[in-house]
Amino acid sequence: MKISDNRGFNYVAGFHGVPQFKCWHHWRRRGEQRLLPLFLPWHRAYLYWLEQDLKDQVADITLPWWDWSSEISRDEGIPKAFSEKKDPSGNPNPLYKSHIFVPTATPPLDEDTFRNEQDTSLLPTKNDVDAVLRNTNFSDFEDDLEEIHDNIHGWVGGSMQRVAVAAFDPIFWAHHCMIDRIWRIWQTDRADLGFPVDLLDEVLEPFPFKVRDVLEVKSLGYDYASTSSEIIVSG
Amino acid sequence: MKKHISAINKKASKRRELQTYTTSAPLKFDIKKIEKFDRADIEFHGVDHSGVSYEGRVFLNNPRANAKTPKTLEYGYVGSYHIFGHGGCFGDIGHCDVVKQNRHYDFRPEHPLTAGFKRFIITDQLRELCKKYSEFTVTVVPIVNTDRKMKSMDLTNIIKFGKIAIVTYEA
Repeated sequence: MKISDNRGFNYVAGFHGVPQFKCWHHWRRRGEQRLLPLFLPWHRAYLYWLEQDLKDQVADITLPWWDWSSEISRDEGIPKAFSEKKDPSGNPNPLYKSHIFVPTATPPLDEDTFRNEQDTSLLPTKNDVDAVLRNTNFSDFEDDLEEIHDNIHGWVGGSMQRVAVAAFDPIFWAHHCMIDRIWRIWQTDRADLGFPVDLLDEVLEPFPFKVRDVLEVKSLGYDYASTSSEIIVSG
Repeated sequence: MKKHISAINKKASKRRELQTYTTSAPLKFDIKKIEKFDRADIEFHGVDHSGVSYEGRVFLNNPRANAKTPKTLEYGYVGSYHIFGHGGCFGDIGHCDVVKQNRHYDFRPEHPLTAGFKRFIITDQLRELCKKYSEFTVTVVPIVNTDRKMKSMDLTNIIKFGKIAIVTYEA
């Protein structure tokens, strides 16, 4: 597939920053002072979109999450699947970096992503995640989770610490799956899923979703089980 | 002088100390009221996020704080916020100017670079500091994960916001 193909990674990565700038971080609706807490639903729709494009190529593929609060991350930093320059066959690892090709940017972008990781002792801990999960109010929860999210972007550094090009780095997606996973865990304790009712019909441009469409991950065809076992019972 | 700067840069770690800090004017409190609070937040309104990403280390009553100051309450450190910066402009002239637009039938979101908001909880820290002080200055020390692509970027004028507030709540 050519890098300019609109079914490909380069195209979808371009929704977030260059060239489309659709990502939702600090935005407001025009004429309103309050910030709209759409960071989590927008990025859930975004993850869904890439996963569907990937499934078109490999039917049973799913996006992985990177638990940057884990002990292994404290030892190794970015998971080896993303940090090794070569894959097990000795070929360049496509998860180590990707190519950014945006000829319409000013100046045009035609370059590889790069990283500049910090000391692993600066990564958030389980206690930090638990503190976020203790929030009972959605706005506080989202504020605190977005704060950890911002920290990780800066920790990885390089392309990841620039909104404009962050989504071109493959680790962006594993990081955001972790963010989405924490939201999912928070939701499991809430029958109403905890989202402000007056924002359920906000549109998550450019995706064909309103907020209410992305609240339940199972309706999007995935979940974040640590383990699962199943048995088919016929009869 | 030139030699001196280059020597500092050679020794500098990735998280480099920058030259410009921001210290607020004193924020005053009625100490009798503040003794009762159940939660205290520090809020940063109108935060610019158009430039580089950074950690803002927040110190109360320590205007001399810098990147080497220990992150302990003894030195006034109450926590950090992180900004995920836009990383510069990739459009034509005016692309990143935040233009206010008041058409009542314009339902698009605000400009992506409309200034943002950050807050974090400082309940225990403020309770402790209130034993010694009744007014506070807020000093923010920016820490940037510098890289080769930042050569052309302004790293000495990073922190821009419209208002700082310390807000307390009673249950």
